[in-house]
Amino acid sequence: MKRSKKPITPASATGAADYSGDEPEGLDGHTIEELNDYLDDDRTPARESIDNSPGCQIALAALERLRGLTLTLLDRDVLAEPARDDTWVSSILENLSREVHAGRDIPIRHDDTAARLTITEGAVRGLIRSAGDGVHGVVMGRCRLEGAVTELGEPVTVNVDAAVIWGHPLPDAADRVRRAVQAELRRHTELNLAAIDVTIHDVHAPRAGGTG
Amino acid sequence: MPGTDALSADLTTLVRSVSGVTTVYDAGSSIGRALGKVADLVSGRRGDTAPILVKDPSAGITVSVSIGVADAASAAEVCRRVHDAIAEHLAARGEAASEIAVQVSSIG
Amino acid sequence: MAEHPVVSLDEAEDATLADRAADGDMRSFEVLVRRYGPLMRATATRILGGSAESDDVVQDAFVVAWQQLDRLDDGAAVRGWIMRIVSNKSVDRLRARREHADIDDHDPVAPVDHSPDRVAETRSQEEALSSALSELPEPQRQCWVLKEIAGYSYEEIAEQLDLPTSTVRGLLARARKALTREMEAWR
Repeated sequence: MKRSKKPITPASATGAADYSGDEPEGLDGHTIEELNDYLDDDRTPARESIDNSPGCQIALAALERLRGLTLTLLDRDVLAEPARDDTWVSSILENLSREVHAGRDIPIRHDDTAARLTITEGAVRGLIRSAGDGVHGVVMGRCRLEGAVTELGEPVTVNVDAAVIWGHPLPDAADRVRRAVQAELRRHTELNLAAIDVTIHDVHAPRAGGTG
Repeated sequence: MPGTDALSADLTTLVRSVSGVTTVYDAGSSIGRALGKVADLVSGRRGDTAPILVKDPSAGITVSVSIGVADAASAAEVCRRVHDAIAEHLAARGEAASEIAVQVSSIG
Repeated sequence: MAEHPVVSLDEAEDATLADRAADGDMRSFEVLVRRYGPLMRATATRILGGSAESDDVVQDAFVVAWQQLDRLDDGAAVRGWIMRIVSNKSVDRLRARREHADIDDHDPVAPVDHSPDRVAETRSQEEALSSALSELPEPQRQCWVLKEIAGYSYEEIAEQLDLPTSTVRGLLARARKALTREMEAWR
């Protein structure tokens, strides 16, 4: 790793504070750290010795400028990045394993004793999400299958969250979601559905803008 | 093992041809298990891109495959069809499996 | 089969996306990748002091996020949670570098890449800050970025960099003084 020796910068010829020593002079006995803490506390309670010191006021202004620039630094970094194509997205997605969220194996019947047929819990959750998403104004959230899903015939309760947008009547939406989910589960799986609990957990407007 | 590789390749082709099957997922090692990686016989890649076929002389052949189902009346039915297709294929060769495992990983 | 949601997932809230992704919805995770990938890359670049390893670090972070999303209790907090993951991954890289170098606090280590920020004439105060940051001795720069950009506490920085908390405070104080001096000199 290349190194470069940098001489200590001589004191700035401009402002009243001299930063060349361990602590800048002209701060009337205060330190930069004290002033920074004072800013953190929104200058409350007021400290006369700081407020009455011209050197401190200059240094405080400098610290505030630094803070302002710091707050927006990352956002400006993002704006300054060159435009990229989508390959960075696909290279990230390619590394993700499907098994991580596959969950339990849900059995499907077959007479043949050598057959081991299953649908993953992840696949069923995807089914439930699709069914609910198809209801106008609904975006599905979390899905839970409660019960011994790995045992054929055991009763299972489906527990889902759904977000409803644009002021659709809530009881109606919950009902529609329940019916859509039930239809899809009956069609594709052999789960013994004891209940489908739908929680409308949020009513929100679409996000303004895209990536915000 | 050359014998099982060829059978594995045949079964992959067979499974992909079953109505309702849109994807045959890699059922191999965790390194190869990535979303969207579909068995691609055209590239000539084997082993990690085909249904696992384990031949154990004492216990018999075991087959396991993970599939994606779409545009089908019933995923459970597709699952059974895949199993039956595999069982019939083996039977036609005078073989039987001690286990045929078919897992539906996605329904779309 | 089912229709697409009337609301595009691109516009869905973080909490909804996080909940769906935790259940295995790759499409929702992809929206999160697009939404926060650039910010994560910028964060990694700031912590690392250069962009050479940023893509790798972001990729690692997303793999971890995918695996551990179901452990996130409050989906609405996913942004901060993912930022913390990429920050930790970045610091892991810094630590790996340190094990192979002998850092002298008084000598600034040359940045990993020479960005246009280091051009002699800085065109703006924003660039002046970037330039001043790149000129800090590495331990000071690291502490400052972790505190002011990545939002770590003194104790967290101490733990991540394997330093006493008092040392972290001292490094931060020196960094703040140096930056203020540089920024004022620019003016």
